Amino acid sequence: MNQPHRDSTETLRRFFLWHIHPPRITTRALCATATFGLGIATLVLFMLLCGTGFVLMLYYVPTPQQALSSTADIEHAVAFGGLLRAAHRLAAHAMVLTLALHLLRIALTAAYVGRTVNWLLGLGLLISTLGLSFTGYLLPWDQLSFWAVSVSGGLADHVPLIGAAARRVLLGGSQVGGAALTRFYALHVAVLPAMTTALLALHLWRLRKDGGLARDPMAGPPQLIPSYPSLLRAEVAVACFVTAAVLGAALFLPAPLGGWPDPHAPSDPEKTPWYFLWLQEMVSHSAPVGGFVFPGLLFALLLSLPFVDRQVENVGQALGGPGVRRTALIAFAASCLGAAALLEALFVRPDVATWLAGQGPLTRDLCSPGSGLLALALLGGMSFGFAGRSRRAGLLAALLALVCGVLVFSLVAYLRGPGWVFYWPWQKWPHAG
Amino acid sequence: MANLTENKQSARTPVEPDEPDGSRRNFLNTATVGLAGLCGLGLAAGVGRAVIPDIDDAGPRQFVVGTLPDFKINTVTPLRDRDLFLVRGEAGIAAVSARCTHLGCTVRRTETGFACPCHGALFGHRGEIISGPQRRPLPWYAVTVVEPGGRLMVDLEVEVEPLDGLENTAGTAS
Repeated sequence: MNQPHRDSTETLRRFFLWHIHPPRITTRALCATATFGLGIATLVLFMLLCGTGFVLMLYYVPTPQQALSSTADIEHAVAFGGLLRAAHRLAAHAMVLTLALHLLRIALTAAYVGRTVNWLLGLGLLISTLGLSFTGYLLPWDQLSFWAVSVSGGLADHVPLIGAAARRVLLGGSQVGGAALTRFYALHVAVLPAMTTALLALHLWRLRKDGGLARDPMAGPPQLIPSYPSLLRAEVAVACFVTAAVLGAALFLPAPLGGWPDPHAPSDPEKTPWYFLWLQEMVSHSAPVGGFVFPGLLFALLLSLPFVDRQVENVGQALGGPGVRRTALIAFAASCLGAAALLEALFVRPDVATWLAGQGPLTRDLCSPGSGLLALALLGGMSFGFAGRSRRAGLLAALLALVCGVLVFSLVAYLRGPGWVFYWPWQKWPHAG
Repeated sequence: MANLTENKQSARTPVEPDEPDGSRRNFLNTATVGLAGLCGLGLAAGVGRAVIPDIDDAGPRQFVVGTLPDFKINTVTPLRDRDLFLVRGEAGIAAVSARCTHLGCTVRRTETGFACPCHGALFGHRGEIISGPQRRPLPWYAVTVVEPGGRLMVDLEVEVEPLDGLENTAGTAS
């Protein structure tokens, strides 16, 4: 380390890598099951998105008249255009996924303790990434993307005080039209990438300042090894794997491109992008609960984690440490999955739906799967918190309950067919009229 | 505590020899930060205001949709560009909104009334709620016959009672 070889990579190492990498790392940081490489994977996906996005930008024309045809040009007339577009789409989907898993890994191992700034920066990255995915969804300007964004825009009306104004500013008018396309494009190629890059830089800087992979300070002195070349090798391996996976998948999964959008006739069923399906499902029971209360409380819970839980023991351990608590929390998560499924099954029943339609607004908001799950999360969080005398156990129990609900709601919404009726995967959808 | 901080501050910023209390430096520091802050606020307010669109794209509230002979008795005709259904029953003529009162998707005509594909809202023939997440029935608007020529004028400012007898018209339009 003290006498670096003079080779072509020395400048790169000395002036860049040695600054973003610590000189030494723990052996555990290299262990695949400690991080699953999710943070690096998210970073690599963002770089892939910037690269593929740059080429797409050269050909794409963001006007209602030309958006669809220029996208079709990219698909058919640009060398490797179809592959680039498919890779861009898949990398965007994958980035939402790896980011969500990365966030869950940090939350469930309590790695946010003492790292409030980086946790908040990470939540900022969650918002900017969802924003990038959502704004990108509209750009092809086909029937699918037009209505997915229209439906999502309707959600904003149920956010109190600022909802309607925010929607108007975002869409540049009252409906999704040319102004919305221009605004989404500006956000997608300028504002949000800049914001994401800045947040990423701060996130990596804080990670270095906070000492890398979180660990329990009571666990004794860690085993340290030089980070060069082991860490760099591990990162390059993840980068190669992610790139190969995205390009490989892009060969077999081309990005869909539908026909001209019809602003007066939604398809049946009309669905939001998959990462918003849980919201759409909850909104289909109660717009205020699904559009505002549930996501708001979930985000508030995430925000509160490093402020409420400051206990440094067992940091970096899955579900707050080995033993009883882990088993109990896993059992709780399983029962929440079951409870959410039961709630959904109950409220999907047509006779229950008809009965609910006759009730007052408050009853209907309270009698919705989202409210039921919130109550369950509150109950579970309180009982785990008090029984275990641990704020962490309470917080993680509530978080697990909400995450399980999100999974069930997403799945149910995914399976719904024409008329927003629930169909099992083996049941055929009737042909939409 | 306050004293300590003050001492620390003055230890960091060297006081000019001809000005033992450093008031000039303090004034300039405060003035610079204050002025820059004001400029920033002004810019932010201007940019923020420019981002809010002033264009009214909602369209007119009264418009002509055709003439009386264009619509036969006992028909429900979708007026696609207006997100309305024009209903001509035996009792009269009116327009029912085709925009779902839940999140604004366009509803379809079905055999039981109207259905929204986005979140499964079901409305009856009179636009009343059957089931689903919506909280309000579909509104009906006045349609008046303007002479000469029998032009039909829809007025979105005037809500009217639903027309009965749409059961007989089911299937006449999609």
